Amino acid sequence: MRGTQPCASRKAARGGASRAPTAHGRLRPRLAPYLFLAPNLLVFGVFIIVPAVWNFYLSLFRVSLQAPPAYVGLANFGYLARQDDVFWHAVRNTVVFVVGDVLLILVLALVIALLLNAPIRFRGFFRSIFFYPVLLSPVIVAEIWRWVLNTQYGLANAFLRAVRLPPQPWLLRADYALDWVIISHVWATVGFFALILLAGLQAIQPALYEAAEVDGATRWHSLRHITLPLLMPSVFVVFILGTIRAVQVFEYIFVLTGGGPGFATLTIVQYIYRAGFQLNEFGLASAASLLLVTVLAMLTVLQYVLGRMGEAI
Amino acid sequence: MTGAVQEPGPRTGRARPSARPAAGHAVRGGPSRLAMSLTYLSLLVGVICMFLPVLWVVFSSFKSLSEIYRIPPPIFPSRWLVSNYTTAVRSFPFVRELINSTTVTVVATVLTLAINSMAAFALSKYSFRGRDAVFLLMLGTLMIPLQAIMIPVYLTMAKLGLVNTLWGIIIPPSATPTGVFLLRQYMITIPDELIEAARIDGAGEWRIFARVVLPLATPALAVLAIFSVVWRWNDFLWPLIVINDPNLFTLQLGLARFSGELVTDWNSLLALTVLTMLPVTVLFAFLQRYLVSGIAATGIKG
Repeated sequence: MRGTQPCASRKAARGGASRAPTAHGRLRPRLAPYLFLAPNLLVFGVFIIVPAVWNFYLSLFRVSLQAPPAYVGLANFGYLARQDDVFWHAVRNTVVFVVGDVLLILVLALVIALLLNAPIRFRGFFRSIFFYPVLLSPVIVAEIWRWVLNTQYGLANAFLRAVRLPPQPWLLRADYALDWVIISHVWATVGFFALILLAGLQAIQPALYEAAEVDGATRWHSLRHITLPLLMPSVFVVFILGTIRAVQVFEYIFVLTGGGPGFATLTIVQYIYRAGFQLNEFGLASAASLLLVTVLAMLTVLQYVLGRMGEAI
Repeated sequence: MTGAVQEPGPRTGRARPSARPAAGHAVRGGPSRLAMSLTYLSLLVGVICMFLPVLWVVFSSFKSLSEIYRIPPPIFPSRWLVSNYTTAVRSFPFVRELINSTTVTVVATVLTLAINSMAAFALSKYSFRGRDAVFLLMLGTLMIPLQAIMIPVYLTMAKLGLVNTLWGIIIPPSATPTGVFLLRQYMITIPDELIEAARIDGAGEWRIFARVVLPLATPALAVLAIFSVVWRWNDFLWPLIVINDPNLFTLQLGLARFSGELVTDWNSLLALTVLTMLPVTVLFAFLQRYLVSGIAATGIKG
């Protein structure tokens, strides 16, 4: 099992070959696709399909370190809904995060894409600058922003002091820590979405603008009646992808604030992590996971359905 | 600042017709100087917002502790202290974590390319029973990220004895549907005639895959390789779940754990941060064309 899959499968392929009674002792084309798929599907099945199914099962159990797992039916879900304040904190934070993150991304990515699509010099340079943070790991981005927003020595407070405003405890105040988590997360991801919109802008036929111009349309009219309508499919992709990503946000916030202060920036995935790995409540964590998977599945179906409708129009 | 805004100014008039027909013709005289100045000004503000945090960390990483603690902080270090880096590398398990990160990145990328190209070959060049089902299954699980099922994934790993092994970080994410789709889309464009010809010449299926299809799919393999390197190098979630043993920490995990302690040793932390982002930055500097086009074409994230 241990990482020898390519070799193993190669051997399997040869093994299969010797068994296959073809003229030259080679693989029969019929069997070949299954053998080629086998290593991928094995990894995929063991580490995605099996856990996904197991997750259903676990959510119906009360698991503790002392006693064997006990079947509790839907009690885990009932506990989440009625008794678990932290879970509702996490839900509320996740909703705030998703709404803020996606709205900011939509607006800023659109602005950046329009700027990059203008007849500017050094377009490649500007594009790189906006895109660069996308490649940084969540840990690195968190370290960068922890340092920028550091209460004593950070850049943000250095600015405030320079213009004679009181320094702020950016990530340490429960009432606005989440706002700064959102802003820094947008910083790290907006370049990716701007790139999608830029590709959409560049796919618009220049002839359309020329025609509009001959008809005397102003630049504002062109933007309003040509660019934006034709860009809607790309905007939609950004909206759905951004939402799906935002719902799953975890690593970045985990390193940046650890979910604190208190539970002020704890999101649903961190709730799952906390319930499972810190409190050993595997059943509860799996129940919350199941709710999350349901939301993600609905978003994916929405994407598919609306995408189809978009094509039909 | 003003230089950067004004410098392209004279060019706006000249460059317009060739730059983009949509921007206007002689009829209207193209974007006005004002419009272009505003464009450059906005871009400049954007560049500052995007790059200043990174520069701030890089500059700070060369400062002495007394400069780090000074209020207001100086932008540039008065002396560029490389000793921050040598201290950080020597007094923290940097080298061990670097070796772990590199091992994971290299082995996982090789494994990813191997099993995903095989799967993509099967899905693009054979018609067989169950193909559509496999395809749909992969598509469907795109919506189940690790984040959502980490508890049972961990339990699975524990059952297989993969907890606290580097294999536990390497193997599970190697079968990525994104990689399969990327390669499949490319392999579909390889003409079937080439494969038929090779088959008539007596080549076996493995030989066709390894000698005919793989070489032709090099561009797509290169894109996947670049992405895989970035994914693995940056990976934090799998190591977080799988690894407890500090001897097996990757750079990302080590950095996060180190910063999670009550840090007063800021210059080591900053130096380690810069060192950890260096490889991806270099990769970006040289290969950003591939990364950008890969993302534009497939919508996969770096």
